[in-house]
Amino acid sequence: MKDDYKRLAQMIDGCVRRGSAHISVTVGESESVTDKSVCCIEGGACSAPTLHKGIDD
Amino acid sequence: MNNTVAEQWKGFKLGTWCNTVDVRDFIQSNYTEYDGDEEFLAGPTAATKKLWEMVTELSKKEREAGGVLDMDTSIVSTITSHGAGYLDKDLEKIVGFQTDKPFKRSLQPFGGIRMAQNACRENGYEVDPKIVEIFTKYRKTHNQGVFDAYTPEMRLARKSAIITGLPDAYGRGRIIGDYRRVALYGIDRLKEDKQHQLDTSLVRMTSKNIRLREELAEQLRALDELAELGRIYGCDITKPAANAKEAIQWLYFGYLAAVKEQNGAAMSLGRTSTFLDIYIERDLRDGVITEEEAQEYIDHFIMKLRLVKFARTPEYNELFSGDPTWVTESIGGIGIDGRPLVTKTSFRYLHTLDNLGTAPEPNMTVLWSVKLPQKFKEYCAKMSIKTSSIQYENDDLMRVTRGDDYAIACCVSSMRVGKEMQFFGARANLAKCLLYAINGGMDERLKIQVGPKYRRVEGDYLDFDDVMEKYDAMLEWLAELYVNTLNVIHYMHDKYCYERIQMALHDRDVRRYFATGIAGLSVVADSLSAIKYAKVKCIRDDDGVVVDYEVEGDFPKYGNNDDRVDMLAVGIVQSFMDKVRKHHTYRDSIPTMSILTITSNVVYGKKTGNTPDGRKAGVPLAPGANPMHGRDTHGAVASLASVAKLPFADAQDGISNTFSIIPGALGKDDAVFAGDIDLDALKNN
Repeated sequence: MKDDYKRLAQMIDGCVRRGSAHISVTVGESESVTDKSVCCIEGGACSAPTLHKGIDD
Repeated sequence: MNNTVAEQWKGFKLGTWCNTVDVRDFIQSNYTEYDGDEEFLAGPTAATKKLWEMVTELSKKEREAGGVLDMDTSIVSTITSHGAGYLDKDLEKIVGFQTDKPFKRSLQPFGGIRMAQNACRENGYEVDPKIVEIFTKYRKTHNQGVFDAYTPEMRLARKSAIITGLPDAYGRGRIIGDYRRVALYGIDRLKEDKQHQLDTSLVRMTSKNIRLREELAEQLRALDELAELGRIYGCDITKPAANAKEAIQWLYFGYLAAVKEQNGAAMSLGRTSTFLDIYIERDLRDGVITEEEAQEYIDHFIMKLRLVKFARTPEYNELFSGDPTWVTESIGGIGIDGRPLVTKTSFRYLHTLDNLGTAPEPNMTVLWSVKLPQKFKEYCAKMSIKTSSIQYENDDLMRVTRGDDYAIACCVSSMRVGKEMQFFGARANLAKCLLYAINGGMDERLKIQVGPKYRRVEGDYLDFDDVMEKYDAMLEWLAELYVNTLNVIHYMHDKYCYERIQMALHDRDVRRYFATGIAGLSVVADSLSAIKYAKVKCIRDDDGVVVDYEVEGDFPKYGNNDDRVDMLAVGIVQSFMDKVRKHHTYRDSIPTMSILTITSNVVYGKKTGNTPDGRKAGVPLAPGANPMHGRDTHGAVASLASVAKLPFADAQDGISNTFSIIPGALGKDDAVFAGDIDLDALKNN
């Protein structure tokens, strides 16, 4: 496991060096590194649509 | 400010922070770097375990009750509206809830009474008719103010969702009070400083100066109420915190006051761990507390942050699949002098994920630099693999413009704590705008005229130059409408739902950012690429509105490190930001733009018709700057390279291509990220 921690830290270093601003780490069994947005999948605060529709419109 | 050295500061290295409100100077003068590992950390105490069991039980009951356990319907939430509330008074080291008991959601109608009513009604409660009467007849809300000023065009843009995410019915969020100030200085000194700000403010009574003076008076009033909140819980926070427990408690009271009055989508905490570590180190050094006690304080503090809750409407909760509050805490980072800002309390915060278990709140965001201590990096990695609960933000990128005392609001918006604030910006749907350009402002879904009635495209096939000319004109229209809509929102929010306690914990002369955001970038880039490099045939309905497209041939797709399409994306970002910059922004705020991870790609997709890249109506847009799903066929590095071309200068509120690194892939694809890939070489292949 210790090697995994080192590898993951190295991977994040690599992303940061290349200018990636925001990085999420997901525990999973997938065999590949993906670039899906976890924020998006899980819902971030920025995801709020205009609320209160139908009443004000 | 009072120049005497407070007795509570004994043992601290004195500096300019003693004579002026300057938390950064205090931190830089006093913090203790830590480059060791996690071996020192302590497990949960018996009190922590007991309290967390109670929280777990209440959480279960809340779920069984359909998502809400209790709601206030007759007490309008203010800083001092409720008596003290506890889980177990004898066990809690850090106290304070938004209402008089845990899991009871407060009533916050200042953003909009109808939103508050809806939130209650949908959860089986009714707001007291007297409150409804007050907030409809006698006390105007932010929402009412906005709709008084909206033009018909703004309402239409809202309805069609070409502009969306508008915080016009609830708190806008995104403002981080410097809650550390409460602990370091106590309310009396902060009031003294704020009074001085008021006394030295301009007295030529222009609208601007009158507003500033009124706001400072409101801030002073809020500080008084914050002191009262402390008294409600038996704490005298008028004086500086004398020890670690008080420092955490004072700081938390500041934050609690904010979430009692504001219900913004992101109510972020700031950057508190290194600050608090100074107090903990002093107490440990003096033998006042043990490591177990230090961790217990942090555990109980984090527990409170996990229990921040707002009354939301079901549509909000459906969107998020839960109840997020985005209590973002920024941890670590590097100082501008090169010293890592990692302390033992950076570890203690992350360790709560072990002691209390995994949770999305507070949103622990590590400000990652390649220069962080290796053992801290590995601990972060360990906790990430174990919990999936840590976000990472590129400190090496942010530090250049924000210095070393910034924090993240929500997920990527950075601001100097107590010195900068952001007017949250919603988003403009650039993919939909492209469809408006093609259809002369006609909404392809609602079949109503929303944009200006410019000339539609003619002929069976889209011509790149023709579409670009029309798109440029439509983007001009959208940028102006978007900025003006936000101007209305922020004017009214300041007027009717002002963040008085958060701004009381800012300097007087803050830098304001006017955040804007765009959605659908990759759809636009791919659509323009399809029009340019393939043939795109228009399918029209009986009214001549282009409602679908047939793409003949292949075209370069964004996310594959191909300049032919990537530069189209770059051009759109630059062009739209330039258009935004042309317009007056509220309070002379500095316009910024985000191309974030988030941006309601699913919701926006539902509101956006078929697009010329072959995407079908209703299909989610790609999140933020990400390529459309499945189109980045050349691997993660090529995808990242495409995103990296987007100009940060034109999107200073954040560009994010969020990578999920799957630990299952460790040892397989990690070489891709390992730091020795030459992107230029890759580009040439």
